[in-house]
Amino acid sequence: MRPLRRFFHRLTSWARRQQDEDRLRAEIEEHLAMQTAENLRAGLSPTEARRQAALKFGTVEAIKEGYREQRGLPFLETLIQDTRYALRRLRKSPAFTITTVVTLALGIGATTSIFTLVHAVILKSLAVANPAELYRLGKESRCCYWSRYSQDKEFSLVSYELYKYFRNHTKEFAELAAFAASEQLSGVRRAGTSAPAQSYPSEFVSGNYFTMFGINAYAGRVFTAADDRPGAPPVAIMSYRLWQQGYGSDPSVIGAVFNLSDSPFVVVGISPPGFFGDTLRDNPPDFFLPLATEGDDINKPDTHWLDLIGRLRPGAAPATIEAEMRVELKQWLRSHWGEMDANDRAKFPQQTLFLGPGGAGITSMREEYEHWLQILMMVSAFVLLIVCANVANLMLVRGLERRRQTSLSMALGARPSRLVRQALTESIILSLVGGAAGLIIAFAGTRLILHFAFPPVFGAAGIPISASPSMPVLLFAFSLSLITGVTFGIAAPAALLRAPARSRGRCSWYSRPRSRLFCFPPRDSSPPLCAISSIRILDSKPIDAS
Amino acid sequence: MKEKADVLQGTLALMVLKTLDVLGPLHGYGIARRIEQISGDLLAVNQGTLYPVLLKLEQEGSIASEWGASENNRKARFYRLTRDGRKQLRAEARDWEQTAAIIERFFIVKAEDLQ
Repeated sequence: MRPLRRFFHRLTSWARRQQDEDRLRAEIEEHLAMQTAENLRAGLSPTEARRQAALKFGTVEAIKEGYREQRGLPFLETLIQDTRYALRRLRKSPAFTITTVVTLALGIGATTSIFTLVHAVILKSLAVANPAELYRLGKESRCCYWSRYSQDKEFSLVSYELYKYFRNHTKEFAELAAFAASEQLSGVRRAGTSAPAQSYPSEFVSGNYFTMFGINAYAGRVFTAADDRPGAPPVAIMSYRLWQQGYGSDPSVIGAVFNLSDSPFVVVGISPPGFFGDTLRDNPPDFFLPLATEGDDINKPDTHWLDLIGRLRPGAAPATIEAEMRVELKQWLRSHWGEMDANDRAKFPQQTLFLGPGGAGITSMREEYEHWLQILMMVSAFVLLIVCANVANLMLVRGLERRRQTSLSMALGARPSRLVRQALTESIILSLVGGAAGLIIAFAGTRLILHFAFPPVFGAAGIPISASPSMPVLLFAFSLSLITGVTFGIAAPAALLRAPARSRGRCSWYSRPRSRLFCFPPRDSSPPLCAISSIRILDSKPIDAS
Repeated sequence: MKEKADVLQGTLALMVLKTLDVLGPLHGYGIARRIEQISGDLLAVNQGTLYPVLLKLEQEGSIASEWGASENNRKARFYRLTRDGRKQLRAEARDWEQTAAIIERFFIVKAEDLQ
């Protein structure tokens, strides 16, 4: 309780320190006046009385210093002082400051932007409800059609009839949705306007597609099973992107008729902003259409053009479902035995299927780029290490160059802990500035990488990857550089403080060529070499010049 | 070095509290004189060290202060014991007595007593 009260007192008194200072001065003045009066009564001369009083009181400045330490927040005050001092010192050596900040910024920025891409392509789940509950058919992504009654390696694309067979027989799926493995481009024109048709990608999806993903419409409604029946009035769902960019978020779009490749569709809803469909690709669909409106491949049991993703019922085991679906596949194929040719019949025993996690959707892009992105990530990790080594090096050299100043400060009575704190403050400020600049570079870098990796096409949606850097990586890269900066920033003054007092005042060993040599590891050297060189520096014994 | 200063400050605080307890509200100079009289030369070195102690005690709520007029009509800051301070004094006095008693026993004990 008491320390708490003291803290609040300090907090408030910090705000009115001038007042306190005045009060102390008045009190000291009173004290001295009373003591002087006393001394006068004892028979001393006025001058002597005053002198004795002052002597008895002690050094006024030291007492004021002690008083100030009791009052206010000395920690905060020294922090402000140290910060000012550090800023002044950094301003005086712009070359060092700029080099360090730029090095840090590039390292942090590059690592973060590359990892942001890796995160989006390899690690991120779809923006849907509980992606962990989703499972998809097939280990590898396939494009786009597969005919007849046998598929190599695994049965991963299905026909509309096979989809319905799976959906009706596999009860462990709360919802099993199907969608076309490829998009198509449709010429789109709003009915009743004379504007030229624009082409936008569209995708056929089953009626329970949005329900399965757990996605609600941003405006209007999503599909229902009734929309996906033969003869149902043709409806469509528009992407938020197109609604916003193409139609200025016009509410009258919902309920309006659009001609897609000359067939009329009523737009009944707008998909939510973060939703880009089932596959990460550089031209996500702008229209979702019910499977039943496809009207061509849909009637062919041996044309396989659909991908499947299902949401498991709570507690259902994927392995059990997989086994069950293998049996269902065989049963379905047997029911078409009459239509199968000799080749299909010969391959029949090998026909099987696999079920895999579907939280990330259809991961064709991941499969395509994973290898390269991993290499890129390793390279960027090395870049970050090299940056750390460089910063360490810069900090150490700076610490050594400041030995004379440090020695002087100590000779003038600066406390060693204060000197280390000043070095620490400087390192932290540098790291903070570097980190802030790194954030900007991370933003710009991610944008740049996306621009080069997926060149934008006019009017199209473009890759749905956000350019905002991934926070965990940014924090990681930033902490790493902070730790490096701090460790090596205080290493030099700390080493100086450990040195014997007699040699402190001399900068003899600092100009010794051997130490200097070790101070500058070649730019492409590995971090261990830098670590060794720093150990060399810390271990080297000062030579006494006297 | 630091430890010694801490001990001095701790005892000084206790002396201040006891002085205010015995004599009632008093200004800084009065407290200094009183402690000097009783303790001989402990405070004679630096009367000024009293002021940081007074501030600390005030922050802790053990004493309170206000401006007033001294006996020869000078403006002076008067310190008085608060209820908390009285409690603290009692507790610390008890602690101090215990410590002193223990230390005293250690000094009284002679080698032959332990055999």
